[in-house]
Amino acid sequence: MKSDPELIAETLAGNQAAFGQLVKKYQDRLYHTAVHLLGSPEDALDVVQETFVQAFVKLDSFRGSSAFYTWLYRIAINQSISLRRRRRPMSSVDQTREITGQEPVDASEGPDRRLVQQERAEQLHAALAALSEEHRSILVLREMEGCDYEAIGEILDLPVGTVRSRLHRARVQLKEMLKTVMQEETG
Amino acid sequence: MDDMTPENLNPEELLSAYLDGEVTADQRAQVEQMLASDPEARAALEELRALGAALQSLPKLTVGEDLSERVLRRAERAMLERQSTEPAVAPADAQQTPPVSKTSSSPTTLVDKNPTTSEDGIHGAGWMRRLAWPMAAIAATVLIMLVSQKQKPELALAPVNSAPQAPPAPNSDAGVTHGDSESLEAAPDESGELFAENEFRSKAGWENKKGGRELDSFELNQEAFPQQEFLGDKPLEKSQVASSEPSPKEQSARTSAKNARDGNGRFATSSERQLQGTGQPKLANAGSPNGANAAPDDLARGDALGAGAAAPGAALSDSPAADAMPAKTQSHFTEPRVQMVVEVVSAYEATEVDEFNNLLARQNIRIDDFDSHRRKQLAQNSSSFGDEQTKSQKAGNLGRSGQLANDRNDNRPIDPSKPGAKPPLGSQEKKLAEAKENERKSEATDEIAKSAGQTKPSAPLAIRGNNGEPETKTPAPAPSAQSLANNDTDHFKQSDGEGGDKSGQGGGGSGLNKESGANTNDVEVVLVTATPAQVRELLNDINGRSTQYRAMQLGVTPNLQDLDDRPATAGKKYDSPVDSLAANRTNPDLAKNAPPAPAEAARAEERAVLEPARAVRWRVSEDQLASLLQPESLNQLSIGDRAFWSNSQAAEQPVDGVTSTEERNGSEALDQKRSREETAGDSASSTLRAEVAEGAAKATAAAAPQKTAQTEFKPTVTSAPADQSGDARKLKEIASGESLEKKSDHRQAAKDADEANSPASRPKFAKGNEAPFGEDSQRDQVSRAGLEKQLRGSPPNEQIRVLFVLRGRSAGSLQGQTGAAVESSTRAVQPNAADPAPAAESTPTEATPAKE
Repeated sequence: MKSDPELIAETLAGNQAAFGQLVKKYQDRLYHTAVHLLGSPEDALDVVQETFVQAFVKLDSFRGSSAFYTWLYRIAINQSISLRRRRRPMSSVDQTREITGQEPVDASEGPDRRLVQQERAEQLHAALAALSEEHRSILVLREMEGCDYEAIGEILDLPVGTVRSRLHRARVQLKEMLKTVMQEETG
Repeated sequence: MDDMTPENLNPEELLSAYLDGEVTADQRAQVEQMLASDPEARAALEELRALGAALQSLPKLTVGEDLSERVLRRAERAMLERQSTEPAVAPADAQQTPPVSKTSSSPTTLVDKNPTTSEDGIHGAGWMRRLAWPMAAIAATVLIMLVSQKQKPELALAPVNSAPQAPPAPNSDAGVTHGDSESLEAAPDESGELFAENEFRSKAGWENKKGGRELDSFELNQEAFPQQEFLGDKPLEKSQVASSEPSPKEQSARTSAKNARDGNGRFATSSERQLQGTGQPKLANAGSPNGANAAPDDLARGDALGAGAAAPGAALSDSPAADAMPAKTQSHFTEPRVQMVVEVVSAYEATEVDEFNNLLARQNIRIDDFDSHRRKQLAQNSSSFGDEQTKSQKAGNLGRSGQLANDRNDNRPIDPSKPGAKPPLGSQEKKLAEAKENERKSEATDEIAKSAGQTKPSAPLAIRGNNGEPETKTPAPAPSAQSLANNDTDHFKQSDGEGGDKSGQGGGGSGLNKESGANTNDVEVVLVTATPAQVRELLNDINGRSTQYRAMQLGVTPNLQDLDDRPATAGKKYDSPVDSLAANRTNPDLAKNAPPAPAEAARAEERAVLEPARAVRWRVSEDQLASLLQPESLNQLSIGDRAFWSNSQAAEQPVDGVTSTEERNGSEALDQKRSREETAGDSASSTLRAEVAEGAAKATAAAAPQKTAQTEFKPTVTSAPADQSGDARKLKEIASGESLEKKSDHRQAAKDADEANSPASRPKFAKGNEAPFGEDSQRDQVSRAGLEKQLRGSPPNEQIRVLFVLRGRSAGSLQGQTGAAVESSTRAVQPNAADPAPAAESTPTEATPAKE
């Protein structure tokens, strides 16, 4: 498998297939993130596609100072935020269930365990969806994508100190949200 | 790490960073010390860890398919769009970013910018490429200069009355815009349309209403460019405006032409109005080969992205309708064409138009209600309104035109002896005026019958008044000049809120039919430009009103065209009007031509998805709707084309309004005849019969070429011609004396005329389309599914255009028809609408069933 810079260079040289490989490489990760950011599989798919299109069109402006994936994420995050801003907030549990309906089922676990996991996942999705845009994106990047602070800062165009404080606040908020969601569901 | 030292770092924040391994050695030591000594800190850390683990345990979602092909296809298209845009928008910028070669849409040529291969760019083919675009730009500039110089004498020397006698057929627009010198009757300074618009706004007092309140974007543009026409979100070039101010005579002529309707009762399209002499649009397409539709000025300005201009030499515009688009629309930006027409049928008498506004607002779709400006004016001048109304009532206008007079300030009685009186009409204007006069004569016949005691066949309609008490009004039968004038005024009442009370607040039961005793068949039409996601959400919202609007249905007629197959330029993004306004205010020329700052360039691209979603709404009669759904009309719909909306509202002015002198005189003569008729008692005047016969002949003559043209464009929609021919036939019968021998025959004639105009007499559409949209019918479900499918497949950041037709259930008898018309027209919007199979007017063709 060629490295990202190699594939980028080939793409810039006119080899579209090289960009196709980049798409294949990152589409799922991007999609996963976008789903959690947007809460809608359809929108996430749209955003992923548009992100790659934009990346292709703007590939010449990619200087390689950051990882290609970071750059890609930056586009995706911006697109997600833009899309979400234009839409009403969506945080329905039904939709969350719809999203989690795609999750692979681990046959080694019992049904109770799966139910608990599913319920937990729904709660998490609901709590995530209730977060503010900035907190959700930073949490998704950190916890789900495993980006370090520097990468998050690059993607979100924030200083590292801001990333740290914002991430902390996002975690605190998510805890609160989870409590609220769990209380609502149990109460 | 940062400026965050252990001293100023929140302990919990430090814990969070520690968990992520994003602390310095000092901070780590501090945290570990804290954890050792503080059990709460340990608990907090565990909580955070558990939270992170929970998030990480969420299932990994995958796309499930390979997106690469789809992405590459769309990227290719995006590159083509970019290629077509960049050289025109900013030649200097084009130098910085070498365009992509036509043969390869990949960033192949961008390799020149890549440091690793830049040498190739300097010493190899890149050198040529860098020169190619500047050279092309220079060549284009020279060409433009030559063309414009060549055109000017023609335009200036073109005789005013040299317009062809036949009414402009839809497919003749292309001929017009292609520079048919016969039809170029206007000199370059004859853009009375622009002048009239500006004057209208000026007189409406919009400029004076800025004290203490926020101006909307339209008004801001007016502020910034008081003398310029607001086309879309971009004003005209100064030179254009300067050259388009007409003399008062020309202004009157233009206004008259603008407001005229053709023989089919259809509004004159923008192209037809061009025929009337707005010089500016004729620049479009003039002599441009290969379908390059951009006007020279536009090319110079750099925003020319007519469909044909997308790829030099490659005519992307495969539809004649693209040529038929008014140059105004083409010159501004290529708005996506109307791709869907959606009919929303309310369960109630009212369609709850305000609620629809709310739904639009929820999707951040800016509602650009054309009448809002006028309504505001009405609200502010409510006191003077009463005076105006009184005057108008005295003038026999039933207060309606008086309301408009206050608003438009352009329906003052015209004294030919005074300066500014309307000049004699040109032949084209005469023709249009005659067509309208014919219609008026038909109405006059109707009036005679009414005065003889004939009651309308229409059923009473329960109308909810502001106090919630039902009122009963008898609806007038058919859209006519008068009824549309009523409609215009009623629209204030309704949309204003609330209207009648002038409070501008509340007022219950707003709806389509509430206000319009005379226009129950009128519909609200909303043209929405938004992303597929927004449209999808909007439709979901509409469907989601099931609790409040239990039976609200959505009749969807999905476009048969796959949105992915649209021309590459169909979804061109345009800047935020606010941004462009701010930039233009500073220095229009500089802001337009200056390349973006390098650091801003990337951000600008990222913001490209933030183009505003907009909607414009207006009110039309069924006849107008039928005309609107003609392919040429749909293709001309431009949110930015305020002149169009203005025209839509103004075109049906009563005789005291913006009408020609001849028409006025004709109407007065008709009134006199009517008086004589009434005086004479039961016998019908042979003079009147002659008048009516003449009107019928003219109407038939006016309708004939229109039919032919429409047959070529859209064989399945025959509403307007059939309607008109129905009128003509009835009038002929009347004129021939077959049914107009006695007073009772008057009644019969009136009844016939009513029937001819009544919804039931409109052309029947193919079987299967006559049925109204059924509640939760399979058709609806299928349609929704089809629309969903289309919306999903549409690029998320490319806006699409949807025309919503809002109607109340009370107009149920029309639903089936309109549904059919919608389908037919939607089909006719297809790019290949140029080659439909012709169909006889009398044989409605089978409409295409909703696409699954």
